[in-house]
Parts: sequence; C-alpha cells; structure tokens
Amino acid sequence: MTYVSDEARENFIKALDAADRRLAVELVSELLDDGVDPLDLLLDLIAPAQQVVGERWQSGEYSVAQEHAATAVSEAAVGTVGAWIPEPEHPLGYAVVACAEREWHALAARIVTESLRHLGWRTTYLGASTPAHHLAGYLHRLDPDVVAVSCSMPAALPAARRIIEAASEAGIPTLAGGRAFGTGPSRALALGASGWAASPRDAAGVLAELRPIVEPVPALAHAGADEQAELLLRNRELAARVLKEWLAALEGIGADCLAGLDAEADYAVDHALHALAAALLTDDVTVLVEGREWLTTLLAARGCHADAVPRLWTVLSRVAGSQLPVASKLLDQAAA
Amino acid sequence: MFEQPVRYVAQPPLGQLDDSTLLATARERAAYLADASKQLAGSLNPDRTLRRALHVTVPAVADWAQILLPTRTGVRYTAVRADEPDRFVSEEGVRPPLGDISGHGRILTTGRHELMHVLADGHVPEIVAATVPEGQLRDGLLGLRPADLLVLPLTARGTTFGTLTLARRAGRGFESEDVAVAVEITGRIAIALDTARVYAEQAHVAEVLAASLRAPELPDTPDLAIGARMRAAMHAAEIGGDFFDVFGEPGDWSVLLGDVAGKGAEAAILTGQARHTVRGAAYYDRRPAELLRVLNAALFAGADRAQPASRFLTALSARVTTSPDGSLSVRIASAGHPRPLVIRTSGVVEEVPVKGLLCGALRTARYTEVEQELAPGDMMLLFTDGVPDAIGSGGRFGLGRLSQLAAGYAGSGPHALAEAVDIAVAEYSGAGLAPTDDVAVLAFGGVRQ
Repeated sequence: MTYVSDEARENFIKALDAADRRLAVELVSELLDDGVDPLDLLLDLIAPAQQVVGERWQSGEYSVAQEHAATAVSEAAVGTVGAWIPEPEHPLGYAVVACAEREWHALAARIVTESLRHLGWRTTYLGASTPAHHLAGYLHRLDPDVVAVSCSMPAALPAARRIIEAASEAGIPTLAGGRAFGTGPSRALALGASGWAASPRDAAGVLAELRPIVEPVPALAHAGADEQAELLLRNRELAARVLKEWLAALEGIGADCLAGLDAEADYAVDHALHALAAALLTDDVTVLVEGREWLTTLLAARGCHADAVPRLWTVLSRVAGSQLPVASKLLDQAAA
Repeated sequence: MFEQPVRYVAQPPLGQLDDSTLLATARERAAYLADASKQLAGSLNPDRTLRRALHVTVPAVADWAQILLPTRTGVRYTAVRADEPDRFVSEEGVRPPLGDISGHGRILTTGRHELMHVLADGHVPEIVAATVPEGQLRDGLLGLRPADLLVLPLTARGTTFGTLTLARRAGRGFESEDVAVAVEITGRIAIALDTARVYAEQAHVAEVLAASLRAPELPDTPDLAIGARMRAAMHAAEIGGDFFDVFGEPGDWSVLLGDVAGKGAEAAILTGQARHTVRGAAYYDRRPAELLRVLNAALFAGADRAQPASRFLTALSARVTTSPDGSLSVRIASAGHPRPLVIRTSGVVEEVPVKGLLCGALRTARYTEVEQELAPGDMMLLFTDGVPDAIGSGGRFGLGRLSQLAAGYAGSGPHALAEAVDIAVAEYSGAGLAPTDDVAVLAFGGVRQ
C-alpha cells in the first residue's frame, strides 16, 4: 500500500501555488499509477492542500483571483482522480451530492462525490449553489437513497435547511457535512438532517445507518428561528447600518484600517450577520464564536486594529441585538 | 417478533366507547390521514411514492402490506412487514387475468375492496395463495400468522390500476371502522401513485428532449484552456436560449457563443439548430465570418419577402490558432453580440472592436473579422447579455462591473475567470430566485506546450 508522501504534498501545493493545472494533473496521475489509493489522494492530498489555499487567502497571502485559480487546479485534480474510480458494479446505494444555495465552494462536494463512489455508492453531483426548488426537480427524477448536503460557509446553513426540507418532504434522508456544520452532529441535527459525517471516510458508516424513508421535518419553532427570519428580512438594511456605524467607530479610535478596503469591510459585516443568522437557526453559539475568530484572523492579516472586531460586535449588538433578544444573548456569549 | 401489542391508528381501547374516547379517536384518525396525505404528495417519483405508501400503512393500519402495480411486462408486488419497516421486498409476476373469480383479477375488475378471513385450510391458506406470490413475500406474510386480509383497489381518475393488500394478525382483525380508514387512505395512495406515474412519463419525454438541447461537453483541447459556464432562466430543465460550442483540432479551434431571442424550450430548439448549422458549415469553410453568414442565411430558409425570418439570434464566431509558447491568434466575427473582452496578464482589460448585424435581420448580411493577438497568459472572455443585463440592488450589473471583476482575475486562468463571472452575476441577481435571463460565459487562453 502506498501512501501520500510529504514530498507529494509539497509538490501539489507548488502546483496550486503556480496555478499549474497540468503539473497538478500529472502529479495525481503518477500517484495513481504508483498505486496510491484514490481516497487518500482526495482526502490526504487535495483536501488539505485546498485548506492551505483557504488559509493563504485568509491571511492575505493570496488574492481572491489566486485563490480561485488554485481551486480550479484542485478541481482538475479531483476530476483526474474521479476518472480513475470505476462505477461500482453493485452499488451500495445512490447518493445525490448538493451544495446549498450560495455555497460556491463546490470542491468539497466534488471530493465527497468521488469519495462516495470509491466507497461503492452510485453518485450524482449537482454542482455549486443548488436552490431547493431545483433540487426538488432532480429528486423527483432521480429518487436517490440519500441527499448529501455540503456546507462550508455559515452563510449557506439557512439554505442547507431548505435542502433538508426539500429532501425530507420527498421522504429522502439527508447526510450533512462540511466545515459549517462544525465538529459534531449537533448543528446538522438541529437543522433536521438525518445524519452527519465528519469526513467522507466516516460517511460510509453513517449512510449504512440511515432509514430508507424519512418523514417531513417539522418546522423550526424555537425563538431563534423566528429571529433568523427577521434578520433575513432586514438583512440589507441592517448590513448598511452596521457597516456605517462600524466604520465610524473605527475612525473614532483612529483605526481607519479599512479605508480603501470597501470589499473587505462589506465582506466582514456580511459574514458576521450570516454567522449570527446561522447561530440563531441552529441554536448554537459556537457558529458565532467561530465566525468571530475567523474575522479576527482575516482582519488582523490585513493590518487592522486589534479592536476592530470587538467594535463590530458592539455595533452588531446595538443595531441587530436591540430588537432581537436571542441574537443579543448569542452575541454576548460569543464575545465572552 | 411482535411481542409488543401494537395499537392501530384510531382504534379505541377495548370497551371504552364514551364520547371523549370517540372524539379522541376521530381526531387521531384525521391527524393520521392529514399526515399521510402530506407524505404521499411529497414526492413525484413513482418508486419513492410506492415505498412511502407502504410506510404510511404499516404499522399504522396493518401488520403487513403489499402493493401490486402493473409494469411494462407484467406486475410487481412490493411488500413490507411491521417488524422490518425498512425492508421493502419486491417480486415480479404475471398480470392477473381480469375477471378472475378470486385474487387480484377480481378486485381489478370490480374496483371493490374485499375483506377475507384467513382459514387454516391446509399448509397455505387458499386466500393467501390467491393474493400473495410464492417466495419471500408469501413466507413473510405467513410468518406473522395473518387472520384477516383486506384487498383494496387502487383507483384514481376512473381507472383501477393496482391493489393494496393489508394483513392483520389473529385477534386484531379489521372492524368496520378500520376498513373505512383503510379505504380512505387507499384512495389517497392511488391518487399519489397515479400522479407520480403521469409526472414520470412526462418528465422522461422532457428529459430526453432537454438532453439534446443542453450545452455540449467541451472537447479535450490540450493547447487551449477553456472555462465555460451556463445558467438557464428555466432552471430545472437546464435549457435556454444561450449556447456555445467548441470544435476543431489542436492548433486550430473554432469557438462559438450565441444567444437566441426568447427563453425556455422554444429558444433551446433554435440553439440546437444554430449549433448544427455552424458545425455543418464548418465542414466546408471554417472562417468565422463565413460561419455567421451561413447561420444567418439558414434563419431565412423557408422565409420569403412577405414573411421575413421570425427568429433572431446574436453570436460570436472565433477561430483560434494556438502556438507552443501559449500565445494565441484569434480571428473573430460578431453578429450583433456584446463585444468580448481581452484580459491581459497586466490586468488591462480591452474590448474587442468587433461588430456586425444580428442574424435574422437581413438576408444578405455580410460579416467582417477582427484579428486579435493574445500573449501567453492573456485571456478572451465571451459572454451573453445575461451578464451585463443582470438586475440587482444596484441596477444593471453592467460592463463596468464586469471589466473590473475580470481585471482582478488577470492571469488566474479561464476556469477561474468563467467561474468568478458566473458567481458574481448569480450573487448580484440575488439568491432564491431563478435568473431572469439565460447566462453564458466562455473564457479561453493559450497553454504552453
């Protein structure tokens, strides 16, 4: 058995760094020829390298364009591994893999698709950002045994809930996975998913345990879900107010680090509001804690004042928290 | 097996027939029927609906249930038992002759349900032999020592097309109230199954047609990197009025991208014709302007002076010559299409000054070519008007936003560029809504050999 060597890992990251599609594909092809297990390539070579790409973007080392270019190369590498994996002759079942709407990080879902195929499942991959009504159409036609929903950004968790609703309404169980679901099953189960897997390697076991027919998930009735709806409704207005007041607060402490970084400032506010919405919906403050940590790293890397995120929180509590008691409580907890 | 006494839906506890118990029973029955109906209506897939039909009947109204449905060649029996609710067992069989005196043929003919008591007459009771095929299904049923069999017709929209057979064990037979609930749920099952069947037939036809109209798979172009994205306003079918095509051979590729007036299936049919026309014309002469001339002329085929071409389309036709160093020489012609952009590695974005009349406007339209050199790393971006015309909170997406976005992707490669444009337009138009117009994006750049 051949495993992925450190040298291969370094070379692959070099290929991503140079956005060299051909080099990456050649490297992966060679490893396949050498007898490396396709699953190892997907999960121990490509996925971690892609994580490095994400970190480099977060730390400001990569521009958005560089991140996309590197991701396109990883996509090509996954395609090469995928072409290597034969269709299972006697599939264990049939899985449709979807990204929730507004989830553009499709690579993870592609890796899941190819991994499941390697584990003996027939798979169909629906691509990035699949709206629930679009998914429903596919489900009528394809009737899979399971819908696997991948979610890497908290912003997509509300849409993931829609996917879960659409699938369960059709009686089809759902398997949730991806960074936005966190490190345990609680968020996935809070959203009504039938199961959660930490990685495609674990997915096989979870899939085997799923019931073949599920009942429609009941509506989310907790107070946080109501507040999330309110947040969704007023998102544009809130985002504009938070942004304005935050930038003013930063100027007040002489930290105009975001001057000229309009896109970043917008992005930060958007991310914070989405993390808040996702925390409300899943009734899980850790979503917000992670969102805050993530923003702190992002802004620090762009030379921002250490007080930038705490100030953003103060503004969020004032603007969004004043009328939304659960949101206010979550924001306080996440800042503690 | 079956150690716990199961209570069926809406079965009052023995001997309790006071008003409040009866009211509670009626409420429970209504809730059961409402919930079951929701589940039955949730999917339009015939197989899924069949399994759900069994799921809502076992164990709620019976210990075992079997559905018989016609197939193309005969019938299929599918059954489930209360102690193994996730195990659906299927068996193929021959179609029961209509007018049979017993068994399914009888129910299919009369369309009336029948309650039968299973008598211990020999090894296999006659009733069971007549209704449940030998093998796994029959063994499964006999294993629970059934007392009553209730065979119900699946009738929807005037036709009895199948049967539902329910079984209960000894001492727990069907009372007349139970039969009423079973008849009620069977009616709903029949409607759901029939709807799913009709949908599947229609969807199959639509799918076969749509598959022929969808964007083609791009050929393997080792010397030309291509990123292409397409988003149809008619989302589910993935067909629309935008189209692209790439053909040719290493060193010399033809790229076509266009937009037919209109949306949906009607537009998609014309995109198919356009692609085929151009492919056919390219067999004789691959000059970009010539391809557009033929495409235009084809739209006038059958039209006369009194009745001009009723359909219009815009298109870009390019011929790309590749070099081993990754540079490209592009000759491009336009039929009334938004101008393509060239994104230099330096981040400079240029509009390619190519113009021409849209196809379908004038029978004798002539097209001119513009030549454009792309250095290694430079990219050309072709797009349909769905990109600049996308509507968001800030009005139109516009060429300004597009150029700015494209500049940021200088040197990142055609795949990343096409994806970025696709995402930007989708995010700009807002989540939750299907795009109002079809969107197609195609970017290409040379590959160093």
